Amino acid sequence: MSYIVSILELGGLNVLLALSVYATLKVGQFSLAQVGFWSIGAYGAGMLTTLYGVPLGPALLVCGAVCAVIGILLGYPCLRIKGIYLALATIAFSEVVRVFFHNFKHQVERAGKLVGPDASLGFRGIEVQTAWPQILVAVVVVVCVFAWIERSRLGLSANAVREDETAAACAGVNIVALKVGMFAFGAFVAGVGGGLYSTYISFVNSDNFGFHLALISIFFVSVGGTERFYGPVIGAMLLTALPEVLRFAGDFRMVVYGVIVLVLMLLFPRGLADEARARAVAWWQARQLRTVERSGP
Amino acid sequence: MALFEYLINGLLFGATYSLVAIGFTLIFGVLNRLNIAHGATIMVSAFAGAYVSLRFGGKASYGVLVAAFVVSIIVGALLGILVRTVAFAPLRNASPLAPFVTSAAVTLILEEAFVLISRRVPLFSPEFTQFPSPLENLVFFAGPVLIRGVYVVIFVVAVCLMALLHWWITWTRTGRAIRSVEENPTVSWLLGINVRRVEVTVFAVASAIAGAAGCLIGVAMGTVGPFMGANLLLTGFVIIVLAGLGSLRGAMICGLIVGVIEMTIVGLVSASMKEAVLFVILFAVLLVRPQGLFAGPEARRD
Repeated sequence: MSYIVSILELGGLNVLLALSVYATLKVGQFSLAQVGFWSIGAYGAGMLTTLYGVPLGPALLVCGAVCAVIGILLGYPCLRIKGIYLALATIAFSEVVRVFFHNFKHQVERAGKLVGPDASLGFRGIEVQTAWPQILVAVVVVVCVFAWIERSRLGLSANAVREDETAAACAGVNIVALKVGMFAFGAFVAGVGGGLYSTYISFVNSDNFGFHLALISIFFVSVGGTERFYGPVIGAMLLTALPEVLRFAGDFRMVVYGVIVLVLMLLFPRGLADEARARAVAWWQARQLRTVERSGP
Repeated sequence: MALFEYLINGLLFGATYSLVAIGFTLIFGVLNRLNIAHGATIMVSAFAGAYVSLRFGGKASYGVLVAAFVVSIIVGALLGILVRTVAFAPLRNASPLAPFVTSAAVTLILEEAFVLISRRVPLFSPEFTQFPSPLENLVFFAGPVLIRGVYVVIFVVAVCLMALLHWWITWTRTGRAIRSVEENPTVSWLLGINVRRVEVTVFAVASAIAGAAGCLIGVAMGTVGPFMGANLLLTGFVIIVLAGLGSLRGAMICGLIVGVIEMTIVGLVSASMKEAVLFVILFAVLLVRPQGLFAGPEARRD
């Protein structure tokens, strides 16, 4: 039972990572900076709670806010570039953050022991303060915000920007505010998620927050689907559970995992959730049509 | 004097980076997509070369070294065609995100597979597998400056390959076809160019160059490992952004520049800072001059 709970907990954390990627994708920006924000959140919350005794909630909010500010600072100049170039600029950001924490040493004596980030050895001994209730609350709140965005004018504008930036601008959408805002919101979610992660897992190392994690976070979103908020949720839960289901494959587990991601992507290039939705809509329309035909003269 | 040594060795080793970036930029030019599996291609070909060298006693024989080089190139080319077939061809009309994900998945598969292979095949070792070559201990002095012989060899080989490629792209029929597809695939297709064949050719050639780079890097380092491709991929990103995406000549020159920068930072500051400096440069170039240092004014940003 606790085994299943722990998978769900990790899944919830991954949902936060996936949703933060989704926030920028929503306005058509493909960002790999989320991993950088994630590690800032992880180190920041770990240090605030363990070294300085700040309660978890405020620590998470501070980390999220710091990430959001950095997100604005990063997002604003990045407006000039898009597509592949944005992906490359943001992976550069994540790598710089990784190298920073790789060399970052700041230790404080707590209860007779030195604790704190120890450069390349990572950050050990973070107080465990997060379990399923905290993760559940965070996921529910973030999902609700996304669901609200989806139904609001904000979501409509975001969709318009993603489909055609020029047309959206002509229709009066403030592209700069929207893009930077979504970027900052994604950064906030990633910062909070990273903070929950480090206070859940109790040990972080900057080497685990590299290009590899950036790719995995993209897997979550694109396997699930990029058009609606439940796509990343489904993708993250599925791909977190997958390695556990694949335990029978032994050492070949991760190879099989890669093959499954590849095949899913080839079969459903739009993502599972979006493909399912498109098929359901098509089926429903066909049914409506049949009903009309039958009721005709 | 130490600085001079870093400059020379960086310049010589940078030639392999040029090779990495050329393959990357060729594929980007034709498909307008990043091939994330490029790093994994380099890694697999380097393993193929190391296998030949270990199996046939490459420690003492130059013949075996040449054979390893040829095998690396062939493995690279075959892998490139495979990557195109699996990760790019089926997703022609999908969003740009899809081929990014499939090629990343191929990377994951190959890396994890080679973690297992290097553990289970007795010739290989788990973390770092030896790549023996007769060049290992060759060192000579140009005045007071120490130069590793292996660097000179890889530099010469890399420059020859680049010259050959440059000739091929500029003067042959296929090269012209590639350039016209880079310019405009639809019009090229209307003019009777077999775009599909051009794509396959480009993947094969770009990955063969990656294979050559893998072998040269393996020989220069003396070891190969399952995750060597990831770092090279990131270095490749930096180079192609500096050069301007799709610019071949720029990639060749910027590879050398990045080699020099990297070696100098490793020598003067510390090895762990080199990535940070490179990525800060990448970031700055993207913001100030997104079309790259070597692209014409007509280059696009998206």
